[in-house]
Amino acid sequence: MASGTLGQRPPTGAQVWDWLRNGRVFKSIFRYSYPSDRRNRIMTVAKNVFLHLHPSQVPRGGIRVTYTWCLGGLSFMTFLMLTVTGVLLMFYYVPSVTRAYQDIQDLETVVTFGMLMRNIHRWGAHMMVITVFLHMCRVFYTGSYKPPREFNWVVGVILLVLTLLLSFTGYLLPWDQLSFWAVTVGTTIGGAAPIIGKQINFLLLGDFEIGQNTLIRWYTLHVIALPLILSLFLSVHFWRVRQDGGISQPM
Amino acid sequence: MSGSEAGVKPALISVRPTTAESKWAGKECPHCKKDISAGENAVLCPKCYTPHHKDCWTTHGNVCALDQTPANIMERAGRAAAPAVDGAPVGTPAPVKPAAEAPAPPKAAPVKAAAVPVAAAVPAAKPAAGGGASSARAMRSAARRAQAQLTTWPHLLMPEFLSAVLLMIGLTVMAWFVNAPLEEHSNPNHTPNPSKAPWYFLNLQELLLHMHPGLAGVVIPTIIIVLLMAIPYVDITSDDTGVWFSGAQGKKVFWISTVYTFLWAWALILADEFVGVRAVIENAIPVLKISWLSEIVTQTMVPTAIMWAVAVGLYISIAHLKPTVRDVMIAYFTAFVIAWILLALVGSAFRGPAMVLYWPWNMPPRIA
Repeated sequence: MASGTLGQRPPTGAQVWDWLRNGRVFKSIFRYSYPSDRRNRIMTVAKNVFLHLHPSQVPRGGIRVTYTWCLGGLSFMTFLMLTVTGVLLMFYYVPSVTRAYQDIQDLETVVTFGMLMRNIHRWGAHMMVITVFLHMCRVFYTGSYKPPREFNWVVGVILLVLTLLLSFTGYLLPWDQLSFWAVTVGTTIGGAAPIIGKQINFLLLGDFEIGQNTLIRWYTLHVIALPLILSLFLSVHFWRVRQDGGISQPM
Repeated sequence: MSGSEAGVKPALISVRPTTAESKWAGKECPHCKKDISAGENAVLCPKCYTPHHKDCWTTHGNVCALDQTPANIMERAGRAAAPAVDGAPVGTPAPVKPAAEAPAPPKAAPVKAAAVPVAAAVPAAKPAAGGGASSARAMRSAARRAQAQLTTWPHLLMPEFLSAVLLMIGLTVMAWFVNAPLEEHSNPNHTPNPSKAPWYFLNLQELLLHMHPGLAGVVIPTIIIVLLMAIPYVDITSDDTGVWFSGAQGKKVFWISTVYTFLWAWALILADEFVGVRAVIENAIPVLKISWLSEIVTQTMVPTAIMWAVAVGLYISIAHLKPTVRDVMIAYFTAFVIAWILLALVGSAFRGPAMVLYWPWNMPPRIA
C-alpha cells in the first residue's frame, strides 16, 4: 500500500485503514506509525511538541484517577477554555465606561452564541478557582510537595494567587452594579494595607475612584498581562513536574 | 570492583518478593546460610546474581557475601511489588537495538524505553566511564525502573482526554442552562445592600467584620501565602510522599483539625455577632473608647491574640498523638482550608443586608 503501487483490485477497508494510520501521509505528520505498540507509543509522545510535556512513560501508581483526581489537568483545561472563550468575547467587548455594559448586553441578546460564550467564561472562571484550590489540597494531603518538589509547590502557590487575580480582574469588566461594588469592596480591602494603603488603592484604581482608568487597567491586566504571567509560571510548573522526578507516587 | 573507585556510585538494586516460581526460591542465602523461601524479600547481587535475603543484605553493609559488590537497595514506592507491565520480564539484560528496527519484541522493549527517555532522567543510571560492567549495570537498573512504568499513550493521555471532554460538556451544559448574572448599569451613587466581593474573597470580607481591615485584608492573606510557600521547607521528610495523609495518624489529625476549626470558627463568628467583642471590651475599659486606641487594642491586638490562642489550642489538641512535623503541617493546613471555606460560605450564604447573619432560607432580598 504505502509503496504507492495500487494493485489491480480496489483496496480492502483494512488496507485503507492501515494506510491511514501507517502510510506516508500519516508518517510525514507524526513521524511514527500509529501508537499501537510500545515503541511507537513512546516515540509519539517523545517527538510531539504538544505531548512532550509528558514523559513518554509514567509510573503506574502516580496516574490513578483516585490519586490525582485529574485536578491539575482540569485546571489547565479550564484555563484553555477560558482563553478561547475570552478571545471570542474580546471581539465584541470594548473596555470603555460608555460602551462596556452595552457590549455585554449585546453579547447576551444580539451576538450568535454570545450568551453561551459569556456563560462558559463566567462559570469557567469560578471552576478554575475551585479546581486550582482542590489541586493544592490534593498535592498537600498526598505529601507531593515534599523534597525534591519544594519549589514546584511554591510555583503552585503563585499560580493560585494569579488565578484569583485573573478572576477578580475579570469581575469588573461587565460594568454593572455587581461588578462595580464588588471591586469597590475588594480595592478597599487592598487600601487598608498598613502605611502604603493609599498608594496601593491608587495603583489598583488608577484614580481616586473606580472609573475609566480602572476599567482599562483591569482589562489590560485581565486579557494580556496576567494570562502571560500565568502561562510563564505554568510552563515552569509543568517543566518542574518532570524535572523533579515526575509525578509523585503512592506507596 | 569497589564502589569507591573513580567515584562510581554503588548500583541500585530492587527488592524482589519471592514466590514459589522465583528462580531463587529455595536457594541458600550466603549471609545467613538459610534458604530463601516464598514470601520472603530477596535481592540479587548486581554482579554475580547470587540471591540474598533483603534484610541480610542490609545488615551486612549492603554488599554481596561472595564478591563484596556494593549495592544499595532501592526504596522506591510501588516498585518491587508491581508486576511486570506490558509483558516485560523482570530485569532481563538485553542488547539495545537500533531505533529504526521493526516493532520490538517484548523482551527488548523496557531496555529501549530506558535507553531513550529514562536514562536521561535518572542520574543513577549514568554509564560510568570505561566500565563495561557498570554501564551494563546501569542499563539493567534503568530497565528495572521501566518495569512499573506505563506508556503515557494511552494510559495517561486517555484519562486526560476523557476528563477534558467531560469538563467541556459539563461546562457547556451548565452555560446553556444557567446564565451569568448581569445587574443594572453601575451607579457610583447607589450602594447595594449588602455589597459583596466575589465569593472567593468573601472569607476576607468576613474577617473584615471582626478586625482591623489592614489585618484582615492585607496582613493575614500575606502571612497565609508566605506560610503556604514555606511548608516544604519546614516539612523536609520525603519518605511518605504519595501517601494520602501520610497514613492513619495523619488522617486522624485531619479530622481533629477539621472538627476543631469548624467549631472554633463558628463560635468566634457567633460570639462577635451576638456579644460584640469590641463593645464589651470598650465598656469594660473606658479609655478604649478613644478610637485610635480601640483600633489598636480591640481591632488588632485582641483578634491577633485570639487567633494565636486558637492556633496553640490546635497543637495541644493533637499533642497526645505525638505528632510528627508532617502531622503538625496537616493540622494547620487543614485549619486553613476549613476556615477559608467556612468563612467564604458564611460570607456568601449567611450574610444579608448590613452584613447581619441570617439563615440562608430566611435571607431577605438584596437591596440593589
